[in-house]
Amino acid sequence: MNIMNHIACGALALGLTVPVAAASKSEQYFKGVFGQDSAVDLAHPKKEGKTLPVGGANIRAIVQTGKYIVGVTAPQYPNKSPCIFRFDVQKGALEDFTDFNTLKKPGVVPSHALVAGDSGLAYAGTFGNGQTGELLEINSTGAAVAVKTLGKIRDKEGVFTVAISPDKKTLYGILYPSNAFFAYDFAKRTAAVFDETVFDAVTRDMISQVHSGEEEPYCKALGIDVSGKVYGSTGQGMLFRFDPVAKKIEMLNLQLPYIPWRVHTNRVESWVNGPDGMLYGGTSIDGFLFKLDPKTLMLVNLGKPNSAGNLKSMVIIDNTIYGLVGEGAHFPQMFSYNLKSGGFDVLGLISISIPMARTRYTAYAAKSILRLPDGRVVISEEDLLPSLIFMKL
Amino acid sequence: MLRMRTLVLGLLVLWATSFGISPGNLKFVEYPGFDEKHSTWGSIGYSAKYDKVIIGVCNHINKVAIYEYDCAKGTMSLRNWVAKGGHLQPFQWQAKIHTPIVENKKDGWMYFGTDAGESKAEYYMDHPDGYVGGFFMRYNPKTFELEALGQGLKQQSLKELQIDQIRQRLYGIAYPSAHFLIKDLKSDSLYDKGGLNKGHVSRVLFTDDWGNAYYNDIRGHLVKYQADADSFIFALDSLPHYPTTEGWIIRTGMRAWARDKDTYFIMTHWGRLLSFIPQEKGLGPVGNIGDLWEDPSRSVDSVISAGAPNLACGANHKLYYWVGGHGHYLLPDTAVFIECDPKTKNKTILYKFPIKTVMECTGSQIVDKRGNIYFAARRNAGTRSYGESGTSEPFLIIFNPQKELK
Repeated sequence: MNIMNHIACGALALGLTVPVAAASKSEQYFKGVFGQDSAVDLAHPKKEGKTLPVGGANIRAIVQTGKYIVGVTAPQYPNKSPCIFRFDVQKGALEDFTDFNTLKKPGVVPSHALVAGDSGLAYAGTFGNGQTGELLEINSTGAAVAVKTLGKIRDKEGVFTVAISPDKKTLYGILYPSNAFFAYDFAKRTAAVFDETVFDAVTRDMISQVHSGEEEPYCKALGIDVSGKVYGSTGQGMLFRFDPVAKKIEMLNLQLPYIPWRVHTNRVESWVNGPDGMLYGGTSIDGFLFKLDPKTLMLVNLGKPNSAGNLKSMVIIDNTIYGLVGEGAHFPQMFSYNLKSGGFDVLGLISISIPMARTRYTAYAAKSILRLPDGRVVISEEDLLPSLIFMKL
Repeated sequence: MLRMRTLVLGLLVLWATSFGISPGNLKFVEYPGFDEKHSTWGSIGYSAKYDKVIIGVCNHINKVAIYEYDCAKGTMSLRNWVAKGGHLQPFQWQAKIHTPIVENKKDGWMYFGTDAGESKAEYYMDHPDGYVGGFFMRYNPKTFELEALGQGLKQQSLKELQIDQIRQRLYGIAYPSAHFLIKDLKSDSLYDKGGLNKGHVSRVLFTDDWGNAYYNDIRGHLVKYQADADSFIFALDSLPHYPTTEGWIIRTGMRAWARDKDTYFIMTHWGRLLSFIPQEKGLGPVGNIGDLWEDPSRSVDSVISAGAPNLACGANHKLYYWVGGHGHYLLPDTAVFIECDPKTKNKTILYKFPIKTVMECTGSQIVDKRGNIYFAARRNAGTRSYGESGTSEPFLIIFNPQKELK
């Protein structure tokens, strides 16, 4: 279980003062550790090769399309533009990138998700600053990564998050700042907007009273079950479901788990489909893992990996959920949850070798985890100098 | 009495002198009134305005004392406590000061940041019941007041601190994320410019006369914060090192710095002395002054580190530094004090002490107006052991290469 090695050496990579007796051991360990698990730097300025601009490189979302990992960034610095990049998985290198200046829409940032469509295309959205956001189509198959806009969904609204139907024919999403749900038909190039998921007056008042961040209550992730129904959250952490056949929103009368009084900004932070047909979700403010049975609509709170909130991203490998939990000062840690036997293992901060510096480093701002077809996972970082971290779990 | 005993013991093991430097050029001073005192960690600074050296002395658990050495009178006094003076609650415990104590030339206060001590903070890494975070603080050498100016990043220590004297801003480095922080003293605003080194929280941050700051990234590349452009400049080459020097050593980068007019000197973790001339815009030239101690009988990588970060340039334009600490010594359990002429690159060992007399020293360019150089020192106390880093007892070393000290 090579992840345990990563965790065991986390203390060293954290920069702990190495005790005298351990110094020679750590020196030996750091020799020749560059195997299949490594981190590829994307932003340190260097003599050769492309890098993302410092201050504009914080990775918001990634997805795989063909031989590339496509990503969008949300700048840490206000004078930097978001970027759209593609990373060649086999070469292990950043291929190229473009930035939002090409969209001529200053002030907008990418949506919180990025999805893969057909033929090497990826889709995202933009929102922010009270402007009309748009849908973006990212083509990574050509000589250079190319981005074109598919237009706005609704005036004065942006696209907060997206998901794509299993047949790749429909793009689903949440609008900002209303939290309305939409379904965009690629063939017809039209969108249907459903306002049943818009925050009601009570929710808006509650949100206002707790002075939360502007984005906190909005549905950040949409889940899709095996039948194609789409799940998301609206005010007070209540779940809704969209039926693509009936083209209707159903309010499920299911509330996400929460610690008392911490309900007003609760939302789904992440979803993953289980091999048992279940949907597994993570919550924002308290970081609960829950199971949702799409047939019976029974929601079970499976507990929390640790004391952190923001259970932000998950994959399933061999009946085990691997995920990231934590945000900001509560550094994201990796956890696992065994779907057969139950029970969490907290695997700690992600510490891994980075060939660029011939040493290990620790990811203090891990953002998302993505499963690759070759069996590895890739973890992105929302950080000033981010890497893509490849691991075999 | 203890002071005299230590001095005599030190002189007994004096190995060599050169260029007229005698045992009288060195002086050890104890810290009175703090039985639990364990260590000092670069927590030293010189107040030119009040002609005092300020030292933060800790038990490395939860007590940090502020001492003053009056350079004119030659007296050491305990003046305040971080917890008491900063009005901290018990849950806001601070284990040490790991930053230098830097004089603000505008107001005369001495600024520093506080630290958890690694092990305790990391044991409680999964909060909420652990370390609340380090505070920006300042101490007034005239009134002995101490003030807490607010925290840096939540639940993270402040490992380094310097001052942009022009813009009246504090620069800080958070631990363990190595985020570069800016605290504007005029607006009291805190800016987080992001993490600069995820391999190691390098322990050196210094500034130039234009208010720019210098740090290093995980590759051992110099990173400059260009203050007027509010942006970072990354050197495209690593600070000079041997091809065989390993990445986990390089990532630590700079360990100490000194200054002689426009030229800065840098001590690296791989035991190298470098020169550096900052520019108002962009990065400046880096020169190689060779290893801290060049011994053909040793492999180039055998001295992993200086062991403890310290460096100073005397009024005679020569560099002075102690080599040894944290288990790394040129000779077994022996700290050596070296003089280096940066023009000729010649190095001379001036003193050798067993670790029970001098174990390791910290402090970058702590020099008073008489040319006295100050080091925050520790000795292996044999029995006393509080917190991390085992047995230790702190004291102050004063050295003047050009005259004997009384």
